[in-house]
Amino acid sequence: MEMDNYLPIFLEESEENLQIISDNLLKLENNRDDKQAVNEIFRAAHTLKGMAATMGFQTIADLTHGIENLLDEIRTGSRQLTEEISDFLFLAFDTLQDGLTKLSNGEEPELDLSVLEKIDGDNNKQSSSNQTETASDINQYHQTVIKNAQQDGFNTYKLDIVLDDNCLLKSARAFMIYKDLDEFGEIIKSQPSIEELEEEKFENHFTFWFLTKSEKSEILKLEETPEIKSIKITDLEKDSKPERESTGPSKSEESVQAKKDKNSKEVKKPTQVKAVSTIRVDTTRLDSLMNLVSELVITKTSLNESTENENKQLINEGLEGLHRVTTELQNVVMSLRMVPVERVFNRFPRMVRDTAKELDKKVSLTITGKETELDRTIIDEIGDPLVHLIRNAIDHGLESTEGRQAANKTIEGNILLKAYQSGNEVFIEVRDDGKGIDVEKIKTTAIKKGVITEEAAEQLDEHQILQLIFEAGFSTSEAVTDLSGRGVGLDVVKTSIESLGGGIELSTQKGQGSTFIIHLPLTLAIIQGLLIKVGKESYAIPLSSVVETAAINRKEIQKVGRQEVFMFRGNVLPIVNLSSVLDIKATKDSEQVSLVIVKKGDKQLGLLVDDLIGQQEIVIKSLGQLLSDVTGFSGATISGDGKVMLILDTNTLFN
Amino acid sequence: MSTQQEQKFVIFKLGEESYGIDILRVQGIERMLEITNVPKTADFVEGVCNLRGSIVPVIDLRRRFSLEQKDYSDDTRIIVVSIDEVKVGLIVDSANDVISINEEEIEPAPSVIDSIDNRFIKGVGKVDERLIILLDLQEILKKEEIVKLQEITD
Repeated sequence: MEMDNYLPIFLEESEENLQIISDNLLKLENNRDDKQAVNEIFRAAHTLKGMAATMGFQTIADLTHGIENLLDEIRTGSRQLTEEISDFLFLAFDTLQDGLTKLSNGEEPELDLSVLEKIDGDNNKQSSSNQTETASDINQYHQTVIKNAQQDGFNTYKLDIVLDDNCLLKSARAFMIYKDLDEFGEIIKSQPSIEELEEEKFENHFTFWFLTKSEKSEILKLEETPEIKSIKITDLEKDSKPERESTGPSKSEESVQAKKDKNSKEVKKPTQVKAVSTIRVDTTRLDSLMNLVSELVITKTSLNESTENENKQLINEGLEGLHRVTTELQNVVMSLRMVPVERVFNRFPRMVRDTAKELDKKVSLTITGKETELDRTIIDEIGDPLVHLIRNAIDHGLESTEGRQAANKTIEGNILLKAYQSGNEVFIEVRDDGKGIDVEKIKTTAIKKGVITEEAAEQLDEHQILQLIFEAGFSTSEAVTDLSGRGVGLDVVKTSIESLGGGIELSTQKGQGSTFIIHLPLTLAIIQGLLIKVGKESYAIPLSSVVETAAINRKEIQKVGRQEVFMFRGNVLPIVNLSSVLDIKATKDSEQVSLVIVKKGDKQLGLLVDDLIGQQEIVIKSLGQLLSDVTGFSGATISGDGKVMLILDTNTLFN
Repeated sequence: MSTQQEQKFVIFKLGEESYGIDILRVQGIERMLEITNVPKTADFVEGVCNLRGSIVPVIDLRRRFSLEQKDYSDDTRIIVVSIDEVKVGLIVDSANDVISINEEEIEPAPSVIDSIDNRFIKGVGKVDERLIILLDLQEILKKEEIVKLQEITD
């Protein structure tokens, strides 16, 4: 079916609409009178309904239709937003999400519509009194719009317009009338449809349903327009608002004036969805663009090297231009790949709400800096670690309501999720104002669980003990709750963040709360590398894992058991001889060797290398599928002379 | 002769013997490129090279077939093939021919040829009294063997 082509687009747009609904549901929960939020949900649900119906997903369309009706009644004030209804909306939203997930998994989006029955049942009861004869002409949605508009002080008319029999350009004339009317009101429906009018698929009569603040006389002026035979204006009010009939055929002027413009503005374009300013780019295209850039960067490096022997001025000029272009191109492409962390952050308000309910805690979540941008590959990976940290903060970080009262704190716990950029890194903080982490308790737990020996623990300062929380097999939770005991610990969080080239820090103050600070590189495609030489081979080490380099005398290397070590600034530094690890015959046997000190978490290691070449921007390329199982290398890069240089994954050397 | 029954092969040499690879698998034939050794792979994996900006692993076919080693010469070529989207370079002594072989002229691998492992051979093609060994690329690029150090050679 051709619809399949549109499915990804439908899913993506539905995802956006669901996000809008979710955001505004949360807003509604905080402030039941938030008219704006109701409108936003209404619009999103309406769009979703339309799209689902077009795609033929009837159950989704039915459910959204139910939501829409319910919201409409809230909007018009005929029904109060109770907690019950709010829960319904959340439930309906979850059901919708389920349906979309099923769709994206290639299943039929069959939904459990029992939730709808409840909404619908109430809905029918409510709206039955408002059913009118006009229903045959216009559907319930338009009726509702008309009802709202009347409440907000609009005059609502049905205009039957007949054109002259000898009218030449009928569609153009109809369009001009449409435009004229549009200037002082809103046409909510047209019969035949606008499309049909445009295609001249009508005789010489058409009908508009029209909302306006102006009086009939204003509309009647149109009759003077050439080629219009007649305009018949019917007041819709009498039909759809029977209870007001007694007040007379025309709407009372007072109520028109009494209403604020602010409200009417929201109703004015009820069908218009808020435009979302995003671009969708095919990732494969992005990748090929990225490849182009990497080639340019390589050319730049090679040109750089040829300056030494050729026509210097010429090369310099070319180089300068090339340099500028590559930098710009690089920035542009980067920016294409960058997405705001909002994409990840958006799911947290809902999650915090659910988690807090589950744990019977009062939690308020503050999010700042959600416009901060990160590479989309990182964005995709960072979600799960953040979910874990936030759950952790609510579950372990925040005290129970009684606990907070006892500690003289606000009953509502505060979680702050903050993102910001600094230099080439993005920082994400998860902060709670809970009880903080007891350093002593960590120590005893760590010893009890065998993460560390008692003697070793004595040697550690407070900061180092805190780091134990990230060790495998560690959990601060005293009782296994529903949330903890999911088999994921902070060690997994740490590993996944480190695999992205970032790191995580923890600071805590007893009774004041804890803060986890994650730092991540802006992008993974181009990094700073330290080039080294072992034997005849050159390798690159990501600069992010390099602590420092040092020139040492081979004689100073000592042995502890079978491990070579070096006393560096008073610390015992284990040494790894790269030439033996990489199975390369060292060419030099000089006294002076270079040491590259690399880190993995808190651990440090000295790598013995023959030479340091220097620091360079390197483009990371994959070793390919065939060599994907090779350990010790995170990829390869191409040096200025076109040679392939492997990038050492120093993390694998720690063992 | 109907084209349906004909298959085109890129012909290359290892020593005195001629081998053929299905031309549809061949992406290009390169002169010898500079190769970077990748430690901890099977010894027939020569390393990786830079093929116009992408990194391609290179396999030495002489070593893959446990043939006697020979220095690279001006004739040495790297045949770049791709199987299931995996791109690999194969180092061969020389490559200069593309020929069509009628399907009827292809016979299953005879046990007579004992110079290379039989499992690498898909069949033998006869062209003007020449025998051409047609290779099974899938077998040559067995991933598990490429990464693990080969124990057979020990």
